[in-house]
Amino acid sequence: MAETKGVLLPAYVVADESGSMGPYQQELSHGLASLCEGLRAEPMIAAKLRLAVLGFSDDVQVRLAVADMRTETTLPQLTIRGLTAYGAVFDDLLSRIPADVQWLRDQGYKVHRPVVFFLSDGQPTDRGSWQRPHARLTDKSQTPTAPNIIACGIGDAQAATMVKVATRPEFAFVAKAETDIGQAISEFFHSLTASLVASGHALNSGSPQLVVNKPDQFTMAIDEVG
Amino acid sequence: MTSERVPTVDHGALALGRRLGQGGQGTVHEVTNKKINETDGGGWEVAYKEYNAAVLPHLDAAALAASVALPGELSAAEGRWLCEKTAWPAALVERQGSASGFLMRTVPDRFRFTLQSLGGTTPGARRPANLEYLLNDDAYVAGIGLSVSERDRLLLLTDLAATLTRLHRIGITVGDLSPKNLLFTTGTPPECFLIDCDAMRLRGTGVLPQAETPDWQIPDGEEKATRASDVYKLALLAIRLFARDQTSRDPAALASVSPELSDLARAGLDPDPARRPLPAQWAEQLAAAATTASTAPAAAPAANGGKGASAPPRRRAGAPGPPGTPPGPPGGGPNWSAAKALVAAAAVILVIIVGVVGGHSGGGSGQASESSTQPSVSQDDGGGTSPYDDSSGGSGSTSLDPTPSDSPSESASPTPDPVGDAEVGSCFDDRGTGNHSDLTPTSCTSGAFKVVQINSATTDLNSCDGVTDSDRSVSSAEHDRVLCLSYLSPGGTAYHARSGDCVYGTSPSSSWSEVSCQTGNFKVLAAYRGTSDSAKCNSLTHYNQWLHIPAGGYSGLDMMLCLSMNYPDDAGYATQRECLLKSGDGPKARFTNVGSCASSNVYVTGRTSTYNDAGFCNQDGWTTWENPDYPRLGYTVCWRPR
Repeated sequence: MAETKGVLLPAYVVADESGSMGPYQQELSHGLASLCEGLRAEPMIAAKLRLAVLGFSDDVQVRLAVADMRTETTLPQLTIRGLTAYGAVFDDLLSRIPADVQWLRDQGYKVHRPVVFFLSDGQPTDRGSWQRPHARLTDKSQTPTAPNIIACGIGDAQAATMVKVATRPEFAFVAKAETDIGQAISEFFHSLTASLVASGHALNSGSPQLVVNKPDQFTMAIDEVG
Repeated sequence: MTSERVPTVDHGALALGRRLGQGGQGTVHEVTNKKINETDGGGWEVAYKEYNAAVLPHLDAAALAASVALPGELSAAEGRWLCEKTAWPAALVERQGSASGFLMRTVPDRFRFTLQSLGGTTPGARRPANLEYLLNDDAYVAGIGLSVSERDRLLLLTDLAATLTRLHRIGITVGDLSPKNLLFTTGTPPECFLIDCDAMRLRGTGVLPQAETPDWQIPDGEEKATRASDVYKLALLAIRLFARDQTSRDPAALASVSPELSDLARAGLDPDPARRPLPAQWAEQLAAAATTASTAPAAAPAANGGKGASAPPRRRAGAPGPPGTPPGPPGGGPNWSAAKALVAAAAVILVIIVGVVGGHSGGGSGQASESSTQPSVSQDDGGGTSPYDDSSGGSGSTSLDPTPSDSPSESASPTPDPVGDAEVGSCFDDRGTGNHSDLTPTSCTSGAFKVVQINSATTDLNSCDGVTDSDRSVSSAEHDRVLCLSYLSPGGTAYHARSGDCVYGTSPSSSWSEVSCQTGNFKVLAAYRGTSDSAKCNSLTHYNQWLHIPAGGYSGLDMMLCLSMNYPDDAGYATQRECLLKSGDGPKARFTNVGSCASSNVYVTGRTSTYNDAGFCNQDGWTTWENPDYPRLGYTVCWRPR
C-alpha cells in the first residue's frame, strides 16, 4: 500500500543576535526553549512542522536546521554577537528555503508555503541594501517557495520597517512603547508557539491556513505607520 | 427518561478553579466545590466544560440530558464501569435555565505522566497521557519519559477493543476515536480511558454535529459515529500503534506481531462497513498475541544522538550550550506557563470528569456499601439545593448511590438468567461460539439479537421455523422455552428481505433497507443464508446486482441477496431482436414485452449500458434510463418499427 507522507509546514524562526539583545539573552533562551518544548509535547503538531532556528547579526548562523522536534535531543541556543544586518538574513533564506523544500520533497512530503517569524530589536545596520534580496525572496515568480514573513519589532525597530519586512501588513507587529523588551521577547515566542500549534491543527483540515496570533503587548505595525 | 433523573446544576452553584483546557467547542475548568464518588479514596475531582457561545446553537440539549441520565438507567455494575472507563457527562449545567455545559470527572492520575523535557532540570506538571505520544518512534517515546513494551501496546489495544464492545452494547458509539481522545496507562494492567465523551453518540444521537480528527477520518460518504466507523478507527489505531507512526494505513505493520492482527486490520479498513470485524474479534486476537509479546520497554535514545536518515541538508552550525549552563527550567518562569497555556488552549486538552448521579432519593444506604468503587457523588459546599445532594439528610459530604436500578430482578438476582428473564422485544449480544449461545442483555441497536417470539413448554429449536425475521433460536431446558431471535443487522433492514421483496441502498457498501417496489430500486430474486458466494445468482433471470450482508462474527448468518433492477418498463431487460409493444410517444413512451412478435409494433436493434447515447442508435428510435447511483445498470435501447 502506498504511504502518503503528508504535508509539512517549514517554519523558520529568525532571531536577532546583535549586541543590543545582550540584556535579554535569558528571555531569548527561555522563549526558544518554551517553543521547542511546547512542540515536542504536542507530537501530532510536531509531526506536521519542520522547525528551523536562525540567529542573525553580521551573518546568519543555523541554531537548528529544519527539524522534527520529536527527533531533537538538545535545545538550540542563541549567541549574542555583532550588528543587525537584515541583508544577511534574506540572502541566506533565498538559498536556504528552496533547498530545504526540495530536500523535504525528496523525502516524499508535500510542503506548505514556508513561514518565517522574524524578530529584531533594531533598525537594519546595512541600511536599504537588504530590500533587494528581500524583494527576490518574496516574489513568487522569482522564488516559487517564497515564504510568508511575520515581522515583530521590539526596542528600536520601527513600525515602517516591520511593515516592509512582513509579506502582508497584518503580519507586522511592534511592541507597545511602554513594554519591557524582555517581556516582549517572551510574548513573541508565546504567540509563535500558539500560531504554529493553531496552524498545525489547520494544516490537514479542509481549509489549510496559516494562523498568526498577535503577540500580547504588541500592536499591528500598520496602525503605528498609518 | 424523566427530568428528575437528569442531574442538573445551576452555574451559579459552581466554584470554578483554574482553566484546564480550551478549544474550538469550549473551555474546561476545574470545579473546587464538588466531588464525585467520595467513597472511593476521597472522591473524584470534578471539571466543568462550558460550551462556546458559537457552539450553543448547535447543541442538542436533550441529547446531552440523555447522556447525563444514562448511568442512572444502567445496571449498577454497568454504570460503575462506564464511569471508570470514561469521563462520561455527570451533570447538566444550566445558566438561566438553559444548558451551558456539563460536569464530568477529571482524568484519574494513573492516566497522567510527567513529560521529560530536553532542558529538563525540574520536572514539568503531570499531563494527560494521550495515546498520541505512542504513535512516534521508540526514541521519542522513551525520550519523553515513557516506558512502553510491545506487550503493553497489545494489552492497551485489547482493553480498548473490549471497551468498544461494551460501549456498543450499551448503545454508545465513540465517533471521533482518535489519539487525542484516548488516554492510556501502562500500569498493571495497561488500560485506556476515553475523554471528550460529549462527542460520542448515544443510541444514534449526538450532542453536537460529528467532527473528525484529521488523518482519522472514515471513508467519504460513510455515516459517522457508527459501530462500523469505530471499528475502522480501531484498525487505524492498531496499525499506527505498531508502525510508531501517525498516518500509516498499512496493515503490514502488524504482520510481524501477528498475521491474524494484520488480517483484522485489513478487514477493518474495508470500505464496506459490513465487512469489518467486531471489536470482540480484535480483543480475542490481541489478547492471544499479548501472551507471547516482549515485555521489554522501548529503548531510550542515545545521548546527543544524531538524526541518521532524517538529517536535514545542513548540520546545525551553533553548538549546544555547555552542560553546566542549561536554559532555565521549563516549569519555572511565568513565560513558560503562559506558553504552555497557549499550547493547551489550542490543543483542547480536555481533561476530566465523570460522575454518576442518581435521581432517586433515599436509595443509598442499602447499596452504597456494595462496593467502595461504586460511583457516588458528594458535595462539600454544604448547600442543600444542588441536585448533587439528593440525600434526605442533605449534609455536606454524604455519599450517595448514583446508579440505582429500577429493576427488582437485577437487585434480587445477582446472576440474572437472560433466557429466563427475556421478553419479546428484549435484545442480546451472543458471545457464544458454535452451537453454544452466551446471551448478554444489551440495547436494541444494530449487531444485537432481538427476541421476536418466545415458545413456551418446548426446547425444540425448530419451533422458530417460519417465524417472521427469526434468524436464530436459543433454548433453555431449565425454563423449558425457546427464544426466537432476529438479528439486527448493521447492514440495514434488507438483511431480512426475501424473494420478491424490494430493497435499496445507494451503493453496495451503504446500509440497505427493505422498501416498496418501484422504478430504480431492486427486487430480490433470491436470498441465500450463510454464504458470500455471488455465483449462486448467475443463473437467475434479470439478475444484475448482488449484495452480501455479513453478520459480524456470527457464522452462518450472513446473507447473499441476488437482485434485479426495477426498470421503468420492459425495455430495461430487452435484448437484440426482441419484440416489444410500444405505447405512447416521446418521454411517455412505454415498452412492454407481450410475448408475441405478432402483437408487438417494434423490435430492438441495439442496446448499450451508456445512458442517453442517441448516437449509438444512428437513425433508429431510442429509449434511455439511468439510476445515477448505479450508472452501470443504465441503458440506451434502440428500436425500429416492425
